[in-house]
Amino acid sequence: MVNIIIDGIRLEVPENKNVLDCALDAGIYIPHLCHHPSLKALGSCRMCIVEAEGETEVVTSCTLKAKEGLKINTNSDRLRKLRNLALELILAGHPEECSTCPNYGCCELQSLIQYIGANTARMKHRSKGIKVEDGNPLIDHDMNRCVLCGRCVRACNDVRGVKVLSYQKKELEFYVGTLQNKLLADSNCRFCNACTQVCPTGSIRDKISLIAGGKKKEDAYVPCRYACPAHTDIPTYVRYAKEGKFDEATAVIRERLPFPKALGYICSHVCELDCKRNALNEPVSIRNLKRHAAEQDTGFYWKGKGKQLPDTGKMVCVVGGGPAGMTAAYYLRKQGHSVTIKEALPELGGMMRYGIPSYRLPRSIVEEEAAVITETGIQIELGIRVDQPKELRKEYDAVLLAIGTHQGVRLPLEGNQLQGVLLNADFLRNASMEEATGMGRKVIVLGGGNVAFDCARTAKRLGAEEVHLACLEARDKMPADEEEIVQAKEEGIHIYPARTFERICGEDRVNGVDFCEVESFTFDENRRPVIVKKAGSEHHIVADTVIFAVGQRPDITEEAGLAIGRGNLIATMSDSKLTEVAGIFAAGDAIYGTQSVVKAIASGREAASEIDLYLGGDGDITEKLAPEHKANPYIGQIEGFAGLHRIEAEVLPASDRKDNFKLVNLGICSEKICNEANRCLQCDLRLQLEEPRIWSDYTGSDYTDKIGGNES
Amino acid sequence: MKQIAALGLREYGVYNKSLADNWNSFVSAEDSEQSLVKLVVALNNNDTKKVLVQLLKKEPGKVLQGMQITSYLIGAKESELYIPAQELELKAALEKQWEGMGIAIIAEDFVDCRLQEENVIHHLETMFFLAEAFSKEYQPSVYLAIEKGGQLSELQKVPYGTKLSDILQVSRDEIRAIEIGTKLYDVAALDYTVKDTMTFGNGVITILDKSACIIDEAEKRLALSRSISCGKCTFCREGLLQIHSMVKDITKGKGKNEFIPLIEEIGDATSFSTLCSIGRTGADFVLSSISTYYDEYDDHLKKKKCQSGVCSSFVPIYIDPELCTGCEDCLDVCPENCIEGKAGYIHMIDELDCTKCGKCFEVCENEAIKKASGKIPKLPDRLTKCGKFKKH
Repeated sequence: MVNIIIDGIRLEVPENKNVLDCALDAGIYIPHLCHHPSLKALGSCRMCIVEAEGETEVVTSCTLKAKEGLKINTNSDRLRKLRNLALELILAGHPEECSTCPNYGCCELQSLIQYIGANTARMKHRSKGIKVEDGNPLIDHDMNRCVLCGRCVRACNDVRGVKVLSYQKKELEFYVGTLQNKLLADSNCRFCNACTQVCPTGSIRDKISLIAGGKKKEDAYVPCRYACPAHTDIPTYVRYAKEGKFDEATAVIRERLPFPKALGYICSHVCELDCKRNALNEPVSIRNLKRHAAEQDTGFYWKGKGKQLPDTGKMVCVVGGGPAGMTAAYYLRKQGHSVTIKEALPELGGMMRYGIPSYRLPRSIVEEEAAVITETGIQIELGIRVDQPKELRKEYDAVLLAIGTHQGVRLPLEGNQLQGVLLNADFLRNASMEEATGMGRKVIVLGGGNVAFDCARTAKRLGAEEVHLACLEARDKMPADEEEIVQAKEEGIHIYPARTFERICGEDRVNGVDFCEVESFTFDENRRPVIVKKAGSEHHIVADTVIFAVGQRPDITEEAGLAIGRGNLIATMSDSKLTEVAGIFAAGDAIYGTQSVVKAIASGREAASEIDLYLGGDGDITEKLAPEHKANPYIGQIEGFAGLHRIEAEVLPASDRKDNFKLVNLGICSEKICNEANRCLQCDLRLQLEEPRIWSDYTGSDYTDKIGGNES
Repeated sequence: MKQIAALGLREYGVYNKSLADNWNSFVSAEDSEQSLVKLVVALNNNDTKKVLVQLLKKEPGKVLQGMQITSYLIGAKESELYIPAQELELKAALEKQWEGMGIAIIAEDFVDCRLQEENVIHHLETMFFLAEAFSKEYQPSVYLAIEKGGQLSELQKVPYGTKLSDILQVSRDEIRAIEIGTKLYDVAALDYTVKDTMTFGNGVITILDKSACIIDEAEKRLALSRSISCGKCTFCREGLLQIHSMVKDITKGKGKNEFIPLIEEIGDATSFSTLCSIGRTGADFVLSSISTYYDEYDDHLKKKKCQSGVCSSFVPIYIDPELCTGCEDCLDVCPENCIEGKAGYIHMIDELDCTKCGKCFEVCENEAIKKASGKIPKLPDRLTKCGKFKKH
């Protein structure tokens, strides 16, 4: 450490640290433009000039190194004049109007103009006439607004090693751009957005659509992590997967999700929907990367490690051993509470075991991951159905209802009580338990979601001769995953989108269903569906079994003594998991309807945190499992990066799978897994680069009064 | 080290400074820590003539020796020698000759000073003289070439104390100005003697004869500097641009009086607000020409006159009354409508509105439209029939 004096203020700073940062860190504002705390000094804009004692020439404080006894003056007539002149020169090539710029109000240059108050009339003003380039994915370029501070060039070259942006020159006019003005995708840009992050003007910007919506910046910048209900640190584990560090990758996943492997198979992967790579071509196969990591994991970083607080003596009962219940139980146990899971069915797993068919999620995986939960010392009571949760309060300090939605919905349709009419939840549960389902030879599934496809494909595998699936939605509006629809077709399932269900026909047993074709399906201003049928389109499909797959609801009644809301869902307080009964909480599908395993896990985590608080804990269930690691920002060059196509999982051929419960999706093989991880844009890296700050961020108004900052 | 201090050897080129002073910081730092400093030898960035590379071509051994001495003194383990980009043959030859010496030969015109922050940069000529200083044959001198009428002479050794008039061998009457390195001097410079504090930059003394317009020359120098600029420093990029556009306006008769102080303000700041010689000396010519040839600027700005007739905007043009046939062709093409006349009458150009665009020259089949060299002859002052105009 050395002592330096800036404007009479003595500072103790590290030797050789640049004086500008020393000043800014101490709350002394020196104007600057080309300087950025995360980038190497350029010393070109001449905004940060200061007078150093013993030097005749003014010096740029960003390149001046702190030495013992250095005395600096940041303000004098000479400095003001020179700064003014430099800013006048810079502005001579910058558009004069600010108000049309998307960065209006959060522009460092604008703030500098306000601070310095430059007069632009003396210089010859020019328009560079560079076309706005909005043909790139994710990033817009308006290089007319560029002031050649070179931050983006340094970020792209020095920090990232991608080397796409450089100084270019055309007819004595400089601009920043790509070689031969190619589009970013054709210049091997990695779309890491470091350039947007450091640009002090509105020249290089995120596309508006990416940052709109009032999200926090880190959420908007890293949309996959934000989209994941459990906010799993996806970029970090993808990076580990790329390096072949699957133990580390799994540890990162396990910090948020106690079922990495199961999710690797069946996660609804909303993260992939929001993956920024969608703007280039296809999203990163995040789910398959997770699956591969979890399969390669040895448990080095988490097995027997993680958090375990001392026993609190508090008793918690979790009703329901599905993903929400098991997750909550797991984290409550780690907080030191003694936990009991009461499960009505014969095994733990909930919908992972009794809903999702085994050709999508092998039961051994559910067992393996449930074992990790129970090994923490949770008491498990199987085959115990709880109808009176209030009674449990006598024995337990807190109760969590995570009972899922195990009751299928029967549409109010003519013939809906006929023999041969089945409900999705019952059908899938019976199939999973290898019990009689009551299914005949010709099956019609009503519904277009993933559960409907689970029913149809299960029926096929159980030996149905004909399987039909009909739904109200048009083909492109069907809620099921595309791969489900495609694979079902491959397996010979007939799909009828855009049908109304007129009636189920039959005397005492089902003999078919009457349908009409839908001409249009819209919603009115009250969000009620408006269906227009095609005239004369009524037709009949013969079947002996009809399976309703049009939604599920919690298997609970008013008799449980709790408030029940719309769709038979358990009512909870707003922004809380607490029911109207003190000490009784609810989580998972039972409070928001049938959704996804990952959402149930997130809900279970939230419930655990809230219950821990309720029981006198701090509610902090986070744990650090992966080793501390700063991601390498130097990502280097990859030829044709933007064009790298998504590597799809291998799928068992339809002929080998349609009559059995063998695993359908085989994941991505080890040889290709790194290539897939390599496609990640590493959107999180930009968070390592500091956010731009303007002069008022450094100082309060007191300071500006003292130095007489320009008032304009 | 003492020897160098005693000889008073100075860095050649734009960064004219005592070598001993320059190295002191390195020599003292070298003792305390493992030095990773690199020696970089090059011409100045602003040197577009590149005559001084002749020193390397003629006596590569001396440059090498100078580099070895310097490397030893500053503790550099590696060194780089930049040579002009087009000298690929020289690069190949040196690489062969100096193999294993740890000297990288780089054929590039531009040394990015920002990448050399930790390194020591020297001019090639400094290395040359350093070697001479050690071989006892040192005679305080510089190497210069003379450019006259576009012809560049051979590089010659000029000992300190030589009067410039002795090497230039020109008569005062034929000279308009003398450009030494990057600066402009008037004829009085012929009496200067060459000494160590004079800056010769690219080693070229250019003689501008009477046919040159100082401001037009300034415009060319600025265009050249801008063309080799890397664009990073604000003052080099934007400052030279503003100066250049003002000077260009002056040559076109669109100059304003306030240009001169603004050129001086920007030019002065540019000389110390940029990193390398391109910016530092980019405005030298225009600044020194303003102080030495202010009258010429004044002529261009106020009298709208270019003494040497180079700036075409100032050359009066007129229609020779004896050659004009009154065909009206020029009337039709004049974009300013400043030619008066009708068929069969002698046409006349209104001097005030004429922009000297030259369109009338091109259409006149009788070559009646002329540039005035010197005095404009007597012209008709009212519509006169062709053939009826009397000179006297």
